[in-house]
Amino acid sequence: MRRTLTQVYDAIFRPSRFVGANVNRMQGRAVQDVAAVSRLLVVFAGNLVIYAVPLTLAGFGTAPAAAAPRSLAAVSTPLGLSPTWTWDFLRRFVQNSLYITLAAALTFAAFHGSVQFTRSSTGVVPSLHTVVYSTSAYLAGVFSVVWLLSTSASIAVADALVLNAQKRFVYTIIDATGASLVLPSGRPTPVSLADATPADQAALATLAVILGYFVYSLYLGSRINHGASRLTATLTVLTVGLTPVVFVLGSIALSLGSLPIP
Amino acid sequence: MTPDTDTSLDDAQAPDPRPSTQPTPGESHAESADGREHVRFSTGPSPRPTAVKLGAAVVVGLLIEAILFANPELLGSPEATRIGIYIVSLVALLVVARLLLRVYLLTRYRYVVTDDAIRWEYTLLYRSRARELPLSELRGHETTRSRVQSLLGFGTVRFLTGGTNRSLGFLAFENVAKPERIRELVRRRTKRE
Repeated sequence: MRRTLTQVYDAIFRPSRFVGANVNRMQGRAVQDVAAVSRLLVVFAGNLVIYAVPLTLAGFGTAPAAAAPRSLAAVSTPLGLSPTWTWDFLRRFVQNSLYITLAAALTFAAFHGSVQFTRSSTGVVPSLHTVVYSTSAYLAGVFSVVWLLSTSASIAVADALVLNAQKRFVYTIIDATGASLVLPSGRPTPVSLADATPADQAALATLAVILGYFVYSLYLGSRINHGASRLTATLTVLTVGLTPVVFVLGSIALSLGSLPIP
Repeated sequence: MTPDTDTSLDDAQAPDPRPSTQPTPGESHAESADGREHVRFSTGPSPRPTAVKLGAAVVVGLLIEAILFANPELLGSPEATRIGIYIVSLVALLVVARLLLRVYLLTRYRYVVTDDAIRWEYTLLYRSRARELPLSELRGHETTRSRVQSLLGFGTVRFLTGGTNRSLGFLAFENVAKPERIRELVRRRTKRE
């Protein structure tokens, strides 16, 4: 409990300590590296549960109806849980966890690739440490606020603005590549910020601050865990910032079978 | 505790008037004779550099907010500017809360140099921690001064026996007055070891 409170305190007030890893301790033998990776994966899984379980219990996620496997009844029934509910919960939990896991994997690839490219890498473990802590705390916070926006009736304008920004981002890349793709929800329609209530404005400000924490934590991770210079750390953050572009380009290529070159 | 009133750094120093580890004049060289600890120097970190940062954070935060309030169209529209004000307020609040906590926590630290060891002590809400490095194990020390510390005459002295800056073999005397003299005292004691 005390450790959790300390981590929350560090996450809010001391991001450098939160994402900072003991690099020398991590540069050990393979056995130590495996132990460190296992520990970090446990941290990530723990944070994932803390993030995804409340979302799933709140009804997020859309898993198509499917019959629960018979073996599940043997586990769920003694716990007083209906096999159908348990199966539905597990499927939606996996779905809700997938977004953050995918985002973490992409962030890790971009972050570590960048520190490797700039020759400032001190190993995989410090990168994994940085990404596990930054994504499972700050990025999960960003996702949670976005979820909140999508459900709260009193902050509709902020929700529309965030969706609009995402659509505009995707369509900018679609238009740049010349791909003949359309999003199911169509092109973005203008959303007036003038209709934003104080709750909308506060929600958008919170989102911006948590996003700032996420970016700053990656910068600190690069500086502290890899001993990168300010310039290299900034480049690393910019590389991670380009990850959504790569993700959208990859999605376009997957949809079309190839990436159109304009 | 008033951290700025640290004890003399001379080897034949006056005793620290504060509790626990201070020797009485009669005990100044008692360690070898009766096994009791002889404190050569004792102080705490000064909250002043952090207080200066706190003041700067408040002033800068208020200044940015004043500019945004005075120019509602600065970020494109009054609503966007209002969001900017919220962001600045949130960040300023976090920074101020962090620095206020730090100012309080700094008053709970105590740094001690004895004849054969350097020690860091910390007490908070009936919890206490202490870390001690034997001078004979000391492998290196460094003194640093940030800009604010330089302006106010403070500095940070770090001592390392081995491991890393997060291991038990590391101690830092943060925001101490006359850091060079502390370092010199430790160096002299180390040579004697």
